[in-house]
Amino acid sequence: MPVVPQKRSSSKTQRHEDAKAAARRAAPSVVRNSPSSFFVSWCLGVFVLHCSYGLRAFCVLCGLALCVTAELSAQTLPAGQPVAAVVLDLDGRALSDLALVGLIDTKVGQPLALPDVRESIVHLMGLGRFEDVRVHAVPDGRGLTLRYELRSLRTVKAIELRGHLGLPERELRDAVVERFGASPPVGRAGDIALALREFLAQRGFDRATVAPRQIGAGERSAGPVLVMDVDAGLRTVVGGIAVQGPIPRETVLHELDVHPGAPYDATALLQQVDRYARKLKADGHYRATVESIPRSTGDGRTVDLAIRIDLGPVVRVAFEGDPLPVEALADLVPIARERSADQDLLEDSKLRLERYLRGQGYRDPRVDFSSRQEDHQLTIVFNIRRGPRFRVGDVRVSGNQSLALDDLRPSILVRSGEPFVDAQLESTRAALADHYQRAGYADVAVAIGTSLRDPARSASPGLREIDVRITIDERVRTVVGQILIEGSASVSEGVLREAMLSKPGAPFYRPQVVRDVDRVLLEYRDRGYQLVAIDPDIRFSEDRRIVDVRFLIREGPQIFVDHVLIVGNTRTSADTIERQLLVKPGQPLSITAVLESRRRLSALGLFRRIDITELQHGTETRRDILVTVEEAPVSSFGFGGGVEGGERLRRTTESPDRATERFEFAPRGFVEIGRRNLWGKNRSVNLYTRVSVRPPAERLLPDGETKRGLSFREYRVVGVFREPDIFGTDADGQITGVLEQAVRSSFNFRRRSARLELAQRLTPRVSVVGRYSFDRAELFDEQFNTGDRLLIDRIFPNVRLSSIAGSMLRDTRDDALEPTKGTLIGIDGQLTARAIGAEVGFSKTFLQGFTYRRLPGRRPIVFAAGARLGLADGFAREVPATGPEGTAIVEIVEDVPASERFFAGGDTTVRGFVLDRLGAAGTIDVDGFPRGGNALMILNAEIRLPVWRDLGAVGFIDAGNVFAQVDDFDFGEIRGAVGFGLRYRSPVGPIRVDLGFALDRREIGGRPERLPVLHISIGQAF
Amino acid sequence: MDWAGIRDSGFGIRGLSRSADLKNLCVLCVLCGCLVRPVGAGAQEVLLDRVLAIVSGEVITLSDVRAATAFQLVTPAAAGGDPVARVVARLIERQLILNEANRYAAPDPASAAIERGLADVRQRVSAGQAVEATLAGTGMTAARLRDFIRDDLRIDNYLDQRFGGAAQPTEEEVAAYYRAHQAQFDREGLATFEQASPAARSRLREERREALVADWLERLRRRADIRELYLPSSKD
Repeated sequence: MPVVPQKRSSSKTQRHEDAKAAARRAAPSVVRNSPSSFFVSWCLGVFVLHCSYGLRAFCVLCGLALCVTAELSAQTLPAGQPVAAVVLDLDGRALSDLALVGLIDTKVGQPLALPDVRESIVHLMGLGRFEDVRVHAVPDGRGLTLRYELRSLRTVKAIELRGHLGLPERELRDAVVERFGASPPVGRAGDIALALREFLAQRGFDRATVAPRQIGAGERSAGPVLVMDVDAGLRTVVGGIAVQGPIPRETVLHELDVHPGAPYDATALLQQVDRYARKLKADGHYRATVESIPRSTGDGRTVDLAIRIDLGPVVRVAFEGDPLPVEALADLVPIARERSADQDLLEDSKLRLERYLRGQGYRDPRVDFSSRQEDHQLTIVFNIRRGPRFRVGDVRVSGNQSLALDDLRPSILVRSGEPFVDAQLESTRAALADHYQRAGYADVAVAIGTSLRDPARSASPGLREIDVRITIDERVRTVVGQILIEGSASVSEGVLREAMLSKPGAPFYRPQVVRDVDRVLLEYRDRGYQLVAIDPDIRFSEDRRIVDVRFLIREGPQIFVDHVLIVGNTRTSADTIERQLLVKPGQPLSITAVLESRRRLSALGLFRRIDITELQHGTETRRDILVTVEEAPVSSFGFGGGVEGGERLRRTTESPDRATERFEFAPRGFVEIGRRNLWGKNRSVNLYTRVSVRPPAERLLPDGETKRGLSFREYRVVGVFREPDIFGTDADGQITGVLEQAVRSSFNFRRRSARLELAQRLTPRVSVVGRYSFDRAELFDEQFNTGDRLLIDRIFPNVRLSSIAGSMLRDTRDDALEPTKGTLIGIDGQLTARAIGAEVGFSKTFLQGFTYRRLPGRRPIVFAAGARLGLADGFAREVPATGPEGTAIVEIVEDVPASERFFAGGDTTVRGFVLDRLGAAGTIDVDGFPRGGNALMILNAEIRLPVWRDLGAVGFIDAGNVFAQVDDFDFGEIRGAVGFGLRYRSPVGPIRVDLGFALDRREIGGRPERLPVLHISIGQAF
Repeated sequence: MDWAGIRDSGFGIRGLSRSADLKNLCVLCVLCGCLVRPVGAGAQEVLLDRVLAIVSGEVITLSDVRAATAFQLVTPAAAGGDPVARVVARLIERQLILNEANRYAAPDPASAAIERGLADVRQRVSAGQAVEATLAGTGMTAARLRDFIRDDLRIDNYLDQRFGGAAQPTEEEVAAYYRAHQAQFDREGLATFEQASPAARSRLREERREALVADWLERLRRRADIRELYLPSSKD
């Protein structure tokens, strides 16, 4: 569609044009007069001059009527004439925005159809960018030139409050901003003025005037400043104050902060009245009321106040009869907490008490309440009669011929020996009926009878027992016969049958038919049939053994997406948003596609708010989809700090020849800076820096002193650049640079590495990652016994690694921090080889699987279990070296570098052992320092149960070990540990304290292993 | 009106009596109205359509007003002199109610009812060909006209459902209404309460319903986001 640009006018000409345009707008008619009509009008006017008064009046009315009816006249609109050109102007300037042009339905070369004009207006207004759209037609020799006149939706740059405000400016401004926002549309100036007048009137300025005006309206780059010229006028003052009630007048006036002659402020007075009423109630006057009634005096400048206080009695709650726990009473009778003693609350409390008692097995509790008024005190007395306590005796089930009792048992909620609760009978009846209905017994009848057991036969004297008899009348089993689908013209029967859960021959279950209807509805709605209606018709055979289900479908019209309008994106490119949208122009409007589009946009993390709405226009079968986004800040900055505590292995001056376990705290802090949505393409860059200070290994100084204290022993600097949808694919690319220095139990190391990753999400739950990394790792502060030092650590203390790796992760957990259900399964493979630039080669595989299940029952108890298996194998490399006698020899290195070996023991692996201190023979040197190994197995199981509010407890069993080589792997060497711990659910994740006990305590480095081992950290162990 | 100002405004009609002023002012209205408009109009530019109001995001256009007028789809509001403004006011009210009906998923009417509504509209516009021409000339389409009538029926159903029950008068109220309007009923030949009772009940119910709807509409108006862009000529 050609867009004809308009010439830009000079400012003077522009003003002239603006004035002309304003004059045109001012005319009520839309049909411009031709010269001939002007001549006729003039003649008519001359004629009128010579008419009588009555006739003149008639003519004037006719003239006015002509003017206004011309507005509505459609006959002269040039419908049907060819469109020669379409031009857009925005605020008087020519515009050639292809995105906007695409929304216009009046096409060049086609005859003008007025419905298309309206459609185009609706599309354009749907963007939410324009305050007004007008469409003009100018005929020329070729046809019509259509001019779309767009006016920007302008928001004010700032609001200025000028004049006599009466109140502090901040209060007025807050009132405006709270209701209209900081930058309201210019068009709301009138509403803002009205709101300000109302606000001032509430505060005592009931004759305030507020006049809005704009300054800087001509500037196009920014909105105008909205000036509110306020004249608050004189403030109403408080005249006489009459106080009724038992409280001294001076006290009341002091509490309400009001006195004669003070400025009248209805809002503040109301707040004071509420506050004072709450105060009286807090003093036990639960029925206290405070009322302030203003009355304007004749001069309108003063307000007389009538303040009425009904203090009511001091309310006290007492309990008589059978005792109940005090904590339970506070919850069940919340009179003191709610500071209220109204009748509804008393009734509710009575019912709560009775329900509570029934839940305890008191079948016939009786709770009454009464009031006793003594002087100024009202005592509400709850009289509690628990009655006898009942326990479930025998539970007998009969009539279950088709289903075994063991199958039914989960549905039987009354259990022998438990308190008898009437409500559980109905729950049991419903659960059993549902159980049978799922098996096809649609007409099953379940009856539950009870009988009080003879006290002489009771197992526990003093307790009454009720035997429960459950009688089941199964009746016939019904199976689905035919499934008939009628009225499906647009979706094949095969697709619909596939979607249904009901199948011919399967047991008939009525709720399943309802679900089938929902599933078929979804099939249709995903194809654009939003108005589809489905009526299921269920017909039983005479013997009720077979049921035919007929689905009567009324499809309704199929609705298609007309345009997809994206608004609100100022930094993010439309391409980035469109890529995530599954709703496309021309396609059927799918509900699932809309929901999934919203989810995908949300997952970008670029937007604070996302709205996807349908705009209906024109015909019933087309919708515009309006995607409105509100962008989130692109820069992020975070910092934090904490302390890590745990057992560490150290050489100390007291025992320099062996590893000593010592509990150490390590303060740490981090800073993170990020910027998202670079170049509007959702690219991001992040820099993360973490530092920890730790005590270094103790050293004896020449003067005999021991060097202690803290020093920067650990740091990690990570820079990440992320490019989503790299090279137009669905994969995300990531470049990472890492600079770190870390402390291990037996050595420290520095590492510089660069990584290139490609990650793709195959499904919402499954993702794969391919990775290339280049590292240089340098060991220092090694604690290994010299004789036990591995060859690779001696020859390559500073090793270069070049690796390719791939991993796959399936994550169905409901929460990454504290999962209660789902699984996590990961496979990771790595190949490091000299052929791609490494100094040594090895392969490494790591498999891990975790499962989380919530156990049946009311309490949210979670069972978590996990298994990890790591295997690594070094490639042999010959390295020239010098022998003990100075001869040249060749050493063969086939170990894995220290930074890549596996370690076990610690708060996330086997918690009965100090960090890295678990290992089979050959992985720990003679001094007790771990060297790590090439094979690892870790097994964990844990029960997590809530204790009180955010506090929880766990019990765990861990097992595992590290082996020097894969061939050394021996299940008999797997070592176990048990323990327990506490969890506190904090805003940053669960704070964890675990105490682990190794099951077979051994001696390492000449000392027995520590028992128990304490771990404190954040986050679950697995 | 500042008569003195107009007398001294230099139009060359000075020294006339107040009555003459009035007459000449009327003439000036006609002449100047016709004179000024072509001057400001430019070269035969025709306004095809424009936005007149936006009600919670729904656009009401000039073509909607044209169509509503041509097909007599709404009864213009009583207040105000500007015919466009009166129709816009009605369309805004209709949209407010329709939004509520949509919010509560008011059911679709039967097809037959829609057809009856369409037939009424066709009858109002006279011959079938005229309907097609009016559709083309007003920017309305047959499908939208059908939707309009369908929504009108949904609105009626919704209002009946929401206010029908509340508007039902008791026997005492009907009797009181009859007593208050007895003279009028007498004029209509409904001399006794028994005769007038059905009419009294019906009128009372209708009056109450209207009052309830009007009150409800006022509250809807206060809550809704309404932008009226069509301002009669004195304001625009």
